Amino acid sequence: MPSAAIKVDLQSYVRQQLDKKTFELPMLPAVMTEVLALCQNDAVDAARLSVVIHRDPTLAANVLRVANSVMFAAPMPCGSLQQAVSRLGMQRVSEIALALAVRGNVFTAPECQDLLSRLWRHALMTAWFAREIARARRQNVEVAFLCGLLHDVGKAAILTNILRAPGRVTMTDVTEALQQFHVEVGVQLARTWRLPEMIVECLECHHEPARACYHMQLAMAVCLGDVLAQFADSASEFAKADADAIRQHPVLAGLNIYPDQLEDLLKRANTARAFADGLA
Amino acid sequence: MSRIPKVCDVLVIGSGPAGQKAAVQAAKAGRSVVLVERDVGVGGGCVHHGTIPSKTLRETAVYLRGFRLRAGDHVPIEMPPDLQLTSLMERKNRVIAAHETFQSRQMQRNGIVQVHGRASFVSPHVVEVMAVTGERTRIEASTIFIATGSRPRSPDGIAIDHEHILDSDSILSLDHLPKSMTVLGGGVIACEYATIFAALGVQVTMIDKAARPLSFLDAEILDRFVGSFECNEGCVYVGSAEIDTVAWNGFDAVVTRLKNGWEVRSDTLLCALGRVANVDGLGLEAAGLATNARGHIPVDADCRTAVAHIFAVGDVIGPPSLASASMEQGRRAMRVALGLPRTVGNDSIPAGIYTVPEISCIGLDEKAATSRGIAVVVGRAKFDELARGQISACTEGLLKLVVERDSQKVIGCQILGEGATELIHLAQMAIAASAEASTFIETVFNFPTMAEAYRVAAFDALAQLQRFVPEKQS
Repeated sequence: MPSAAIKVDLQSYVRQQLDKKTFELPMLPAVMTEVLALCQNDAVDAARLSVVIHRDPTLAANVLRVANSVMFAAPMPCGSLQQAVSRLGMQRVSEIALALAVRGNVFTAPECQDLLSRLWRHALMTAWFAREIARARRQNVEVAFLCGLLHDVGKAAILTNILRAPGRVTMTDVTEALQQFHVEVGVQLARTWRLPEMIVECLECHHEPARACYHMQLAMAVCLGDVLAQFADSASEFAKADADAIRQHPVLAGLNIYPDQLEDLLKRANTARAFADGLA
Repeated sequence: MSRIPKVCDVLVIGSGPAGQKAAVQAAKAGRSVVLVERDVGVGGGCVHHGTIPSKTLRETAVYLRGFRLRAGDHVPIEMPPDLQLTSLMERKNRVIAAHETFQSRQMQRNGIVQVHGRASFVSPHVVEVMAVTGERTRIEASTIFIATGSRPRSPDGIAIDHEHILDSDSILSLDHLPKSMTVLGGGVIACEYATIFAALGVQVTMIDKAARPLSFLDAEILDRFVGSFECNEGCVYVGSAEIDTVAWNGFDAVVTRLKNGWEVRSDTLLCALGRVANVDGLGLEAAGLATNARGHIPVDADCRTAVAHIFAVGDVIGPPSLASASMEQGRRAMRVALGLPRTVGNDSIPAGIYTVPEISCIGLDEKAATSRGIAVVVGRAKFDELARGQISACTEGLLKLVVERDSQKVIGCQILGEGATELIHLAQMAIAASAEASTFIETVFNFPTMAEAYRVAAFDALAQLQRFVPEKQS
């Protein structure tokens, strides 16, 4: 964190950066954009996907590392990316690749790595919960996972930008700035990355799903996934959610999640944590 | 849930087609009505997972297919390989919202109290409703209607993950068109989705234990239907097949193994092997009720259950499981329940199958008539012989008019072809009016229209009838 003697008004600083368009939006690696496009194409096979991922050797090595981690590991370790794809499936490998690419390009800044790591862990758990909620609601599970993963991507982008802010900032200032701007920045980021409009809307409305015009159910799934991830990750500093508060959450009615279904999700917090550990 | 009345005249559980019409009928008769729905909004599975969304997608598929056929090679229509299904479904949410708003307003207009929650019987006259918040309220009612509908059956051994292996509730959550799809089942829902996705360019393999799909249909109509489906590139019906295993291979395909050793690989699989009644959690035993061997609630001809003041309507009582039939069951049963005069109804309900192309039928087909000892002639009209059929590029259709030989009255009709579900109503009215086949010749229709098929079929039937006259006289 900048630590000069003069305290800065962080919110004004971020506002100015956004208005003057000097706010730096991280880019996804070109390889990842191609991987995402490939996964939308049914004609693509494992060989082609692994060739594309190999263009970014760091990404390829990390995908292989995660594929061999406890979360995904098969009895015999995967020796090649193509083997990983054939064992885990294109969809899972592309999810891993996206997660790693987002983490590597957005959730990385040595000055506040601890904070970013916790944000990242929260994103992974939100993705896991959003996917399970979508499954129960008969929504698209893949899209829900992606939206959960990216729902707070704006926070990471803000953190890396405010490192350049002159003067002294406090943790309270940072938290307030993140809360104030993360949706706006997240939406800008999603548009810059040319993500589908349903993901953009979900990022925009994940705190107020009722505002969603086209994909309200998806936004509600991510909203609930967000609070369940906060509950599951008791170490989170950004927000804590206790089970009783979740039981009263207004989004439950919109998602039609009854108490027994919610209890089932709450009981699966350990699985969500294990998933996040596998990818963190 | 503080505004929920503790006592009411009529309590209806389920707001699908059957429950909704029952509730409206009761309200119009001046009764206080509470309608309990466990899902968000009104309309039940019909509006949210079934009829309305699938028909919206179907409409898009039919337009695309029709445009290709009509524009020929002059305006090429190609689907991009990364086409998002969600973009084809764009209208779905608007259609659902409009339908739901209309229904909800109708409820409000009639003073029906709508309650969001799960209902379960505490006693024959008392139902407890649990809201999504967990809050519980008990409601006592003089008359109770069970209209909880049905849900897709999950057969043992098929792990439906709603990601790669889907059922008819989750199939519309697909965001991209798969290249290939396996459809398990040969019933109405299986055939509807199989032909919709086939029309959108997906290679569909239908698998069922029956030798042919929709086996209740007229054989000639069925031949044409299967032929039409298999004309789509890569689409095939595999009949008389026993499924051994179904599993996602964890990589790129759902693998379906048949007991004869065959293996079918596809990007996704739709399991449409029937539906089961929604009776779980209803606490039927507390009401003194039980389900039959098929899991349905047994009722008499008036839809009255074994407990006199409790009625069951719609899918929860089993076939025909048509939205149209359910609506009428709800309305008529409520009139019986409230002691209102019974309306003189016509029990002949058309079957509408929203495949591509559509199928619809009413009354008796040739085989059913013959088995009852009724001598009939069948007039045929092929759509490719109609001017409108050629203009609209709807040439693969066939209309069969079943005419009783002695009385020359229309007693049945079967149609395959676009617009079949609308066209059938002319036959329905003819049957209801006991009209003779000649009515279709003596009545002038607009030209060119598909309704001309009735005229053509009637001429064909009458020509056959004339051939029988000399035999009779001799």
